[in-house]
Parts: sequence; C-alpha cells; structure tokens
Amino acid sequence: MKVISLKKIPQSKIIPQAVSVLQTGGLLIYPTETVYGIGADATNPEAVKKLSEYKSRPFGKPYSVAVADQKMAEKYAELNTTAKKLYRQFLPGPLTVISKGKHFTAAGVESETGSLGIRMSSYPLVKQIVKSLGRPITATSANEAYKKKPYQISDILNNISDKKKKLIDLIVDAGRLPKREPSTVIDTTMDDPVALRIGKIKLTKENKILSRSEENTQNFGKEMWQKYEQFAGKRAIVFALEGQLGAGKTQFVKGLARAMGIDTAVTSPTFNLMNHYSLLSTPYSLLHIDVWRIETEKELEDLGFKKIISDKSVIAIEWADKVVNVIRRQNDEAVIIWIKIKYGKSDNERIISWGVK
Amino acid sequence: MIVLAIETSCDETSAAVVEGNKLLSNVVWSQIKDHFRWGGVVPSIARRAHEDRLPEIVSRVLNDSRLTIGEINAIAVTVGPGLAPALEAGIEFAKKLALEQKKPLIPVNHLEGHIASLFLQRKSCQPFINNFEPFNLFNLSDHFLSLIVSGGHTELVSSNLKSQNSKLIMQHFLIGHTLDDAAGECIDKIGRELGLGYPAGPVLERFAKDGDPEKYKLPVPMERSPRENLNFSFSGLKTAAIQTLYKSHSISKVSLRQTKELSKQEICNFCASFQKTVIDALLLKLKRAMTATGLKTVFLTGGVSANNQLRRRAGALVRSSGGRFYAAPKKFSGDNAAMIGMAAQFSFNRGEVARSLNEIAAIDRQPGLNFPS
Repeated sequence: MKVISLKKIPQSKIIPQAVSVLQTGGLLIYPTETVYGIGADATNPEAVKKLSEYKSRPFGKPYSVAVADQKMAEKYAELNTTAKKLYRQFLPGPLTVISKGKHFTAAGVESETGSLGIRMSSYPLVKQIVKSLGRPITATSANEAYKKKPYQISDILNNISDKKKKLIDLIVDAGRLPKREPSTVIDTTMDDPVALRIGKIKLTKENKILSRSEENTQNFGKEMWQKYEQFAGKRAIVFALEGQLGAGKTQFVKGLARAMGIDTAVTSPTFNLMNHYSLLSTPYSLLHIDVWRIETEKELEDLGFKKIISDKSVIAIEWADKVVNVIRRQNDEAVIIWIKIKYGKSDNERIISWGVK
Repeated sequence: MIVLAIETSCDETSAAVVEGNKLLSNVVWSQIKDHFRWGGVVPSIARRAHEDRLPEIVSRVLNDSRLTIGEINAIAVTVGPGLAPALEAGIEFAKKLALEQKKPLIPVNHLEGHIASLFLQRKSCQPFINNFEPFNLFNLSDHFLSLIVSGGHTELVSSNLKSQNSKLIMQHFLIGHTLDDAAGECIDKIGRELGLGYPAGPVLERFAKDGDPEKYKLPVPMERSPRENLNFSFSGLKTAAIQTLYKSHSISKVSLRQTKELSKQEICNFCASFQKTVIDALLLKLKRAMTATGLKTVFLTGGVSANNQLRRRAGALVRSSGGRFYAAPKKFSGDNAAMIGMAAQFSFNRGEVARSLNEIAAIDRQPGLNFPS
C-alpha cells in the first residue's frame, strides 16, 4: 500500500501512477466531490473480485462506475431519453444514473437484472484518471460495507483490518474532504420503452362518455358494476384501466367499490401493489391492483394473478396498458372490460371510453 | 429480552437483533438501499426474493450481534400492513424458526414499528434495557402524536403510554389518514413524470434546493376541509401538478418526459414548489391535529421523514406552539427490522405473544392492518 499526497505531488505525476495500478488489476483509493472512492478497472474480473473481497459485500450487490464523459457511458450502457436528459442537465455532478447495461463490464458490476449505475465526477482528478485509462472504474465508497463514510483517509484505515489494508495498492490523499452528501441515485430503466408500454389498447365496440368531475367518474364506476354484476361469482371480472397520471383511475375504483358494498376507504395500491377488499355478504373479493411500479408482465403473474382469476374475483387494474398480454390471456376465464380515461378540454373534464378488445 | 426481528412487508428484506431498546445489529437488503434501486424486479412481488435472502440476512445479524440463535429470547415478525405475499414470506420463515428453536413469536404492526423507531438506541448510546423509561428519554408526557409519512402511508396517530405492573403499555389510535395516495407516492409519481427516475424523493429534494418554491402556485390539498377533518389527500395535488406543468409549458395531454424539455432551472423550481406544497399539506393537518387533541409532543417518522425540509419545518411548527418535536433517526426512517424489534417489546408488554404450537400457527398476515380509530 502506497500513499501519495495530492498536496505534495502534482496531479500530472499522480495520474500515470494511478492508471498503472488500475491497469494491473490493483485497487486505488481516490478523492471525489463527495467521499473517498475505491476504484478497480470495471472491465477486469480479477480486479472486481479483489474489490468485493475488500468491501465484504454480499454477492449480487452491484457497483456503480465512473466514466470520463457521455461517450464512454454510451459504450457501456444504453442511455434512454430520460437518461440523456439527466446527463445533459445535471452531469458531471453528484448523481448516479442507472441505465440498462451492455454487459461489457466484469461480472458483479451490473445488477442481477443487468442494469448499470454510472457516475460522472465533477472532481477533475477522477475524470483525468478514467480518461487516461480509457475504461470505467468502480465508483463505490472506500469504506467497508456498513462502516463509516470516508471523508478522510483515517476514516478508512482506522476501520479496516491489516489484511484488508494489504488489498489496497495506492491511496491518493487529498486531506479532509468537505462533508457533502453521497451521490443521489436515479433509476431511469423504468422509462425504457419496453417497460413503458407493451401494447396499445384498441377497443372494438367502443363506448364513450364525458366526465365533468371526480364524482362523475365515481358514478361511472358504479354504473359499470351495475352492468357487469350479473357475472359476479360466476366468472372473474377484470376492469383494465388505462389513463395518464391524475386521470382519475382510482376515482373509478372508489365508485366501483362503493357500488359493490365496500364501505372502507379505497386508497391507492401503488406502494403495496395490490389491495384486497373482502365482503361479508359475498364469496368474491375486490382486488385493486396498480402496476405503476412493476416493469415486466411476469411480475403481475408473480403477484398471483392467475389465482385471483380462478377465485372469480373482481379485479381493477390501474396502468393496464403495461400488462395487456397477461390480462388478455385470461379471456376464457374472465370478463374483461377495458377502460381508457383521457384528459378533456377543461381541467376537470375526462373522456372515458370503454369496451372489449 | 433479546429479540430477533424480521421485516418483509414490502420492498425491503430486513432482520435485526434488538435487546430492550438497544440495537445490536440490523441488516436491510433492498433494491433501494441507501436510495439505490437497481432496476428490474420489484422484490416485494418476487416473494421468492424475500425467501431467498432471509436465511443469509438472519445469519448475518446473529453474527454481527455475536449471539447464537439459542441466546435469542423471542422472534418478532411484521404481520401487516403490507403486501400479502411479501408479508407471508417473512411470517412463514419466522414461524418455522420459532417452532424449530422453541421460541415465542411476537406479531408486530409495521406502523407501530415506525413509531418505535424513535425509541431505538444505537450501540454507543445508553440503553434502557430493563428499566424502561422513555418518559425520561423524551421528556414525554403520557400522550404524544405521530405523523407517519412514507411511500405507502400518510397517517396521524395519537398514542398514550402508561405504566402497569412496572411494564410500559402503549396504545395507538388512528386520527387521520390519506383518502387516496400517500405523500411519498405522490412525490415519486410527479418525480417520474418530470423524468427524475425512481424513487424520486431524494432526487427531488436535491433539485428543490436550487429552486424557487414560489415559482409555481399549486393548491394545498384539503386546505378548505372542515377544521375537525384530519385526513389527507394527495391525488388532487398530483393532478394539479401535472396540469400546471402542461399549461405553463404548453404541452398537451402527452407525457412530459416524452416531449418537451424543461431547463435545469425550471425542473429545480418545479421541484421546490411541489415539495413545498406537499409539506404545507402535511403540516396543515399536523397543526390541526395538535389543536384538536391538545397534544404537544410530536414524532415524525416514515421514509419521507428523511426529507430535510419536512424535518425542519415540522420542527419549527411544533416548537413555535411550545411543543416538543422528535424525528426518527434518518437511518431508521425507511423500512427496517430494527424498529420491528423495538416495537416487539411494546407488543410483548401488551401480552401479544404466541407461545404454543396452536398460537404460533394462528399468526397470519394482515395486509390491511391499522390502528383502531
């Protein structure tokens, strides 16, 4: 382990030393605009393995990487519109942007699902090192997992064993860093086109109404129940709702629930993914599902979708356009009603169309 | 009493060892750890994710606390509220462990866990293991008010404490809750619409720092509701925020992130205005709740309580009316098993503990669990 001080040795002499350590699979501790980071060549499996040994991290925890510029980022990950916007507006800076990785980094750097966290440091030394190396380096904090955040070298060295110290090849000491919060992480993979919209819902036998208020939308929910109640308990009934944020999908479900005789408050299922309302008088229940947080159709199946269909439940699904295929597959077993809610001309107006596919 | 606690109510898989109110070890395995979320599966759906991780996490917390499973006095597990299959994964694991090891099993209400997080003492602090005196710790009167704000909950809870046979008995009553969306959910949804990814809370806060909170005028939800109404509503604010964005940037009916680009300053201004309005809405009802109940000791907890602006403004509000304000340690504001281990002591004191095979078998998930109102 060698320590060089940024205060005593010019940056131009430090960079080649740092690069040579990284090239030979070594570990480098370096200052950033937040805390001290520990770098390994993110494309070198041996180096990444050494890093995992140092960090004592459980397997499957990914590492974010530092790149020199957006061009390098695009070599290792697919940047979607959201990501590009963030790069343009907020990088370099203390943000880690997560994108879909291209699997050019060593195993363990990308997440289990193949996403890659990328940083672009505003700290000049980091940028220079990565640029000279020509490949991304890991950008994890230099402390051991669950230990003190390192703002000075002693924060690191006082908290690790001698065995761990031996794993470090070079430390670039810039003294005590100003206490800034660690970088904030933004996941953009939810906005990948595939996650956003799987199928466009085209309605046949389309019906349309104009809702002028939340109460109108709730009443429409009630009317839909009156129309389809005849199937209740005989087959599952699915109300598949599509509509932008704030369109009033939950309002529809509130009306539906009230009409079914549910007197507890219907609240958003976004966080819990699925809310269950049972009725004393009937054997079937209302399942209120929100797939806003989920990304693949399989996740809806993992939620037990098939079981609730075979239980002949009444199901309301918000953001149904994300899971069109899973819903459509239930065509034989369930009555499926597709409902689209769109913004109308004035603030409170909504155009609601419904039908079967 | 040394408790091994397990929490799997939503995204986080967590275990902790807690003795009295002293935290011995705590591990949270999350897609969102330290605000990290690495895309892909929402683990709460993949109930298998919880099942796969629990054995490793439990052996890790035991290891960290330098205890063996035999030295644990009881096992505690979250039974609700939360996502049913996720809760089930934790409950089944805990039941099996309790039966195998012949330990009592304590069912815990996740929301009481959030309140309990304020009673937790870290290693370095002086614990009150046997002589349980939170009155001294907080200068608590025997009643206090909690505002729980997270991605899944927005609740006002009134609690009372009494000492009974030298045991601390705590009871909670729900006095206000959201009628539609939770505050954290509203923040996440607007953030994502702004193109800030997910979860948007921490990012939104970062951008809000550089923005002008007066730039966009957004309606404070429930401002005109009757004085005695202590409920929240965030779905209207969500709609208003989206429409304000559309209008002020002449975007119509198309998702913002796909079309027009806002400048960095515009994003910061919007984040600041929006964050301010969410906090206004929370504090409006907190203030009313203090007036309605006459309570002056206030706890702030839940994932969103990590927001610095909310902490600062809630603290100022409570202190300006002569009250005492306590916020959950940021480390324990999100979901974790440490708080469940703490809350288990409260459950235990109320006699909520399963000892026999039948009692343990009868413990079931309660996805819609809440406090009585």
